[in-house]
Amino acid sequence: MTEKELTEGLKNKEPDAFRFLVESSKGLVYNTVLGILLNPEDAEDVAQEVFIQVYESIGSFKSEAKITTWLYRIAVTKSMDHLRKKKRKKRFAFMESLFNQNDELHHDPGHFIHPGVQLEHKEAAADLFKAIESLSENQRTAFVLNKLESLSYQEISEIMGITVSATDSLLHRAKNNLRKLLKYQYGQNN
Amino acid sequence: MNKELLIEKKVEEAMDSINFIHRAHPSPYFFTRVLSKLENRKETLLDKWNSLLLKPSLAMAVLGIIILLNAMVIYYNFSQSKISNDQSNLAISDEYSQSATPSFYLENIKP
Repeated sequence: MTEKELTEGLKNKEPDAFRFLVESSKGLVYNTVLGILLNPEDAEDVAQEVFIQVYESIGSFKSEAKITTWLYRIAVTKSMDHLRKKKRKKRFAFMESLFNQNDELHHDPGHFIHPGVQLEHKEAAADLFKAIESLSENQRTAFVLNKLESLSYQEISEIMGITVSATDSLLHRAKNNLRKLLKYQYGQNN
Repeated sequence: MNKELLIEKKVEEAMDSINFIHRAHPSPYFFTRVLSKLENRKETLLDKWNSLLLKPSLAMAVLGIIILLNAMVIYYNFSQSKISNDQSNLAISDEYSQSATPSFYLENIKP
């Protein structure tokens, strides 16, 4: 199915076109969302939401853009919304715990291990993903798109709506910050 | 010095650990779940509309707005037709005022 046929099919709400889109691009959407959220259950849920939004708002999609770029953009936006919602909930729970006297145990999700990491690198990758959690939204997005999805600076800039030089600078800062965070992490452990 | 070098080595190892990472894939029932979510959403949207329309207060308010809009349209049309009637009357009288004046009036007018 060509990109034009796919777009037309989606606009006409054809079930086969929608199935083709989901089956062919669920990997890229899930992997991106997982890289940002670092939680498989949340990632599955948000990835499903991405395809629901695609189905509902295909009318607003401009055919000049690539459908994968649009998918990445929705995946990033949805993931960021989910992260913000989670942060708000955490803040609210913290405020509540200040006023409540019952000492409830806080659930710590522990280290995230990406299923695509090679066995011999699992430990080091877990440390890296822990550091990724501390990056700013933009740096995290650029790093995930570049490292997990192997996208070029040009593609990242199109998805994030920034210039190529801004992408370069974001990635440079992200790598520097990760090195600092990891150095601190290992310094504390030794 | 050795400790610092060790930390540096570990940092670089961590940074390189995802260089050959494979793409993660969702569960095999992903598409079915998307479909069922989509169906649920459609149903909840319909339910929302139905429950909204079945609320007596909202139904009365909507009915009131419809009646008000109808009244406004009728009033507007009525006033427009009145204006156009007046204008056409004026135009007719302007057009015929000269010619419609009986000639004996003109004859009896003294300069």
